[in-house]
Amino acid sequence: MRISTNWSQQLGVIAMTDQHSKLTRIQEELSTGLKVIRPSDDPIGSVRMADLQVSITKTEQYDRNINMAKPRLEAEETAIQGAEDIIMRTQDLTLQALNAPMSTSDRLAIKFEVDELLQELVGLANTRDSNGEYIFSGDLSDNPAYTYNSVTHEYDYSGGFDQRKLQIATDRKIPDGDIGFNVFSNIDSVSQEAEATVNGTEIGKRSLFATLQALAGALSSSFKQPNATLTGDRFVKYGMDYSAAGKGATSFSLTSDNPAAPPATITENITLNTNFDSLQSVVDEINTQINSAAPITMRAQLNGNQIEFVSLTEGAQSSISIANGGSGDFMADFGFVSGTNDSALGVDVNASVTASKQHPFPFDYSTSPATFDIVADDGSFATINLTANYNDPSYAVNFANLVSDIQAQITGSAIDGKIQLNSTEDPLVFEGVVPGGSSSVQIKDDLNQGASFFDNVGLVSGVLNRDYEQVTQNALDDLGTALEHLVQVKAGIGAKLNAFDDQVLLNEKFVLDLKTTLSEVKDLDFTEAISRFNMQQASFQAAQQAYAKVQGLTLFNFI
Amino acid sequence: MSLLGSSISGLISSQVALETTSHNIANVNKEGYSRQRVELGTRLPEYTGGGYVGQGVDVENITRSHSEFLNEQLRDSASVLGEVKQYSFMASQIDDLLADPDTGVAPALSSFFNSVSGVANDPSSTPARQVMLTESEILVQRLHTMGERLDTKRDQLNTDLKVMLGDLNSAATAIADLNVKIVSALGKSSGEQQPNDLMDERDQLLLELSEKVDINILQQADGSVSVFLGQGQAIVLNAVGYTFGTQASEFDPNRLEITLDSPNSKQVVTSVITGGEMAGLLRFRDEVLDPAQKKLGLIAAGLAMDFNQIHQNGYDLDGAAGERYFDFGTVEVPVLYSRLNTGTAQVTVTYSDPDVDIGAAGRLDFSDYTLEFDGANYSLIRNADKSSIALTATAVVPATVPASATLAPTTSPPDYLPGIAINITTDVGFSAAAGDSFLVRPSFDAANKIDTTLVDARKIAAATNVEVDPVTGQDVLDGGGNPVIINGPMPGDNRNAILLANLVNQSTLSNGTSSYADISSEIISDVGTLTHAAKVATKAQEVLFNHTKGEKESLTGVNLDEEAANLIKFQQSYQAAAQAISISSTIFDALIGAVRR
Repeated sequence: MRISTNWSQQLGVIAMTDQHSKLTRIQEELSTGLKVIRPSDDPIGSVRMADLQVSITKTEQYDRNINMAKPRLEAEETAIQGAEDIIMRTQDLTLQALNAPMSTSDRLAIKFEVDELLQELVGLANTRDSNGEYIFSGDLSDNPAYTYNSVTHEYDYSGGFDQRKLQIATDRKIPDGDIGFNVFSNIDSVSQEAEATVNGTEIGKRSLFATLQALAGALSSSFKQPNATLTGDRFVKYGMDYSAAGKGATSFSLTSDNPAAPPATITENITLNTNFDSLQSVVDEINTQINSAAPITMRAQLNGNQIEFVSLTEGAQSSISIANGGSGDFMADFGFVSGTNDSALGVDVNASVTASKQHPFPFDYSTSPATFDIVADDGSFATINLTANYNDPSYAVNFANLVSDIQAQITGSAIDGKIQLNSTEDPLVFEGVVPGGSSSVQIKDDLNQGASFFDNVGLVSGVLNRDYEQVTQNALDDLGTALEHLVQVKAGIGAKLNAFDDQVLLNEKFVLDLKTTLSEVKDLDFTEAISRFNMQQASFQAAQQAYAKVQGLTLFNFI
Repeated sequence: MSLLGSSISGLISSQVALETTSHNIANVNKEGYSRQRVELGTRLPEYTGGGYVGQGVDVENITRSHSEFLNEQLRDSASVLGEVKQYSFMASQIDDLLADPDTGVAPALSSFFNSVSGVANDPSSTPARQVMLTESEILVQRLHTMGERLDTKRDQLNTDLKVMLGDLNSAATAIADLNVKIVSALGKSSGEQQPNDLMDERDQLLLELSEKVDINILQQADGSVSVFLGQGQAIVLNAVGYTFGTQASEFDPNRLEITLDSPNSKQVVTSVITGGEMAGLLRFRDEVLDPAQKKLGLIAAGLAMDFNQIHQNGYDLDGAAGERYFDFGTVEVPVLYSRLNTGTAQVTVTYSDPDVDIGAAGRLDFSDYTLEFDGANYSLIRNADKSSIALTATAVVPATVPASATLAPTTSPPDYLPGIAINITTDVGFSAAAGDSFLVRPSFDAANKIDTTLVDARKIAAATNVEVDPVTGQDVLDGGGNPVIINGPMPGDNRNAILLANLVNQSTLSNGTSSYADISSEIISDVGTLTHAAKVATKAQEVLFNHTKGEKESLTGVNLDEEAANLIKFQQSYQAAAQAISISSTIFDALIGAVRR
């Protein structure tokens, strides 16, 4: 075939250009280490690479999420471990307090320790994580989980009601903790003081704090009779707008017992028609309306982020109910059901203080008289002064004399008709005349002048009354329940931590697989590429040499 | 006498042959040059008694080696090669743009959603929120950068088109000029001898023309050629070259249409340009550039709609309802008015609210839409497939100034608007006239316009504020079955942030079949596949072109060895003829000498 000089030269150039571009391509592959450099090199592979990259970053993010959640759960675990220790120490103390007859100061010493333990528990419940978030406060993480309520003197749960969840896999969300309410408050209780009702349903729950407080109270001879209480079940921390611009006015009525004339009742009609910017302002307004007319027999109060209504009467007489006033949303907004009522639990008992010893007469108070006070619930008291020498050979005579001497000093005193000395019981029993919430007996030796008498009959100064044993025993039972409850919570945390570890392993495996696939798609096989490079280099050189040789051939060289 | 005469004729013809050979040698590197050769004719012999005596030789013609068939084939091949080469060249640039992992949209999307997860992990942490704001800024910048680079390509394309049209126009004029010269040159020789070099030049111009655009050629009897576009639009007609021009398209001033201007008409020929570099450019615009930009816009618009919906349903760190997170400025969806509109209606198009128009983001489409008014009814036409949706106008209540109406599908379902809401003024002085049309581009430049409106990290709505029963963990519902919303800050609530972070896993686009990353992958695979195909086609066409060119070169190209041999041959014949003259002189001298004696 005939070939033109120009074309033969161009063919050489085309061949060289082609070889050179192939060489450059391999060089590019070698210098980047990639076999897919541009999407057009392998469109399907490029898309797979992008998809794999997305999956990898996503899975790595899940790992980061887990790493965020883990320290929080570990902090929670530590806090709960601490709470368990506190409960166990309290159990020891309670058993101690239940066993031997103890002096007031012994009991007070125990009480002080219980108080300290309570404070420690509050501290644990309000544990914060490294970001300063309260770990038991749920979604209201900038609020302490438990705050002291100065009206009810209780520790209320004031955190949020939702536990934050974290995404640890595409379809897997795990809570990064537990809300304090479920850890410390929502504990079964056998106590009469167990949180009364929610919408009329007895829930029989008492918070760990309330248990410790009741225990401390019993140890210091301060008892609380339950009041009838209605608690709303709605989260209303931020108030409600009942102004005309908001939801509009709302009304409802509260009915409580009338302690002055049972079984009559007192009903208060409440109307709310302004913008309340906080729950406290709602409570204040309701209390203002209740207090506007005597007698005041009930009260609205806060329980953390909930509202509750209590009868001021204590004990079995106590009752309260709520009814819709016909307009507005109050009942729904605050979680009340119209027509529900609550009566306090509790058996009315006569308070009594029982001495612990039969009397090993003779007693001689003639040289150093014994003086002590008997105090009733309302603070009225009688001072008893014993000066005789009870040394009659007959035990019965001595006992009768002692009883009649004390009874004589009660009769006509401020506590006459409130407290009496049981004349037949031995050991001595001081008992309240009227049963119920206001029944209380307290024997006090403020001036330390009755020590000999107290020692003789086995009384403890400052101690009173009706159901120390029961309160303490209940507290002991509740502590046991609480301990079990905490163990369960801790088991839940352990399960979550295990789930995290499993998921991390799974994610790591998954990422490894993805990265392997990704590398297969995009990374260069260097051995193969280098051998290709060498071959291509040879081809290129051949093309160059061929060009130089062929272009040198011309007939003009010979003429 | 005939000895001298035929020697001189040999001398002259050898000289012409040598001249032609050296002309060939001189033009060895001239593109499109066809080698020429001298055609000799033996003179008529003189009759003598002894028979016919040869009288020497005459140069009859100088012809060029060429084949119109090969020329035609080469032009066709050049058209196809020009198209795929230009297409591949432009597409490779987009391909390179997507190849850089640092500029891709998918990594920015991943980082952004990871930062949302960061907020979900720690919703009360201001640093985590700040990171999310920064990441969204980066995502928006990334979308802008990509959009702007695609815009730059569009500008470049427009410039290229104009330059190319300039080349075409000068080629057309030159061909027309050559036509005149060739016709007159042929006339001089009564059509016997051709002006070879002019013909070569014209063939070369035609080849260059066909590289730019596919042409048909008609050879005229007088030697001129007429050049036509695919469907018979004349570019060169005898001695007249027509000029190409550009004009803005009916709707979009940035989209150039190609016109062919004749003295009495201006014809839009964009659609009949089928081959050549120009078709490569136009096809690149329609197949690569526009879809990439619209799909990019689809990601931006879809993301903004979904994200804003969830964000606006949530609550921020101060307990206030979430604001819009992404924004598109004052004009959400650009509406372009036809130049031909006679009405005065103003059309406003916004992305629809997914709370009202459920699943709106899924219906977002990368196609443009044309809103048409026929005097009584409105209809929305999807430009990609010309499918049409009948619309019904409902007056906006309370009345606006000027009065306006919303346009919604007449039968809904099955018809839905593509994730947009359309509002048109209907008041006197602001109303549409029959035949008015408006171009609606929901996705076209959304990637360039998307922006984050949030600047305060506290305003990120990570919380849903839905009240939860602490014991069961279930949402608390009000009497109407709707969740109860807590009216205040819930700093530890991350539920909305989780919903937002989950968007990355969800197929919310393309009627619930594609996630954002899917669309981003789609752009990569579209561009990658098209570029790959174009590169392969370019290689194949190059081989074909080179083959044809080789054939042509083998026929018409100058081979220096051949010319060297010819030089020797003609030199020898020249020397021989000269020798014959010298011999005739010797003969003459012998004769004179004989007479002198």
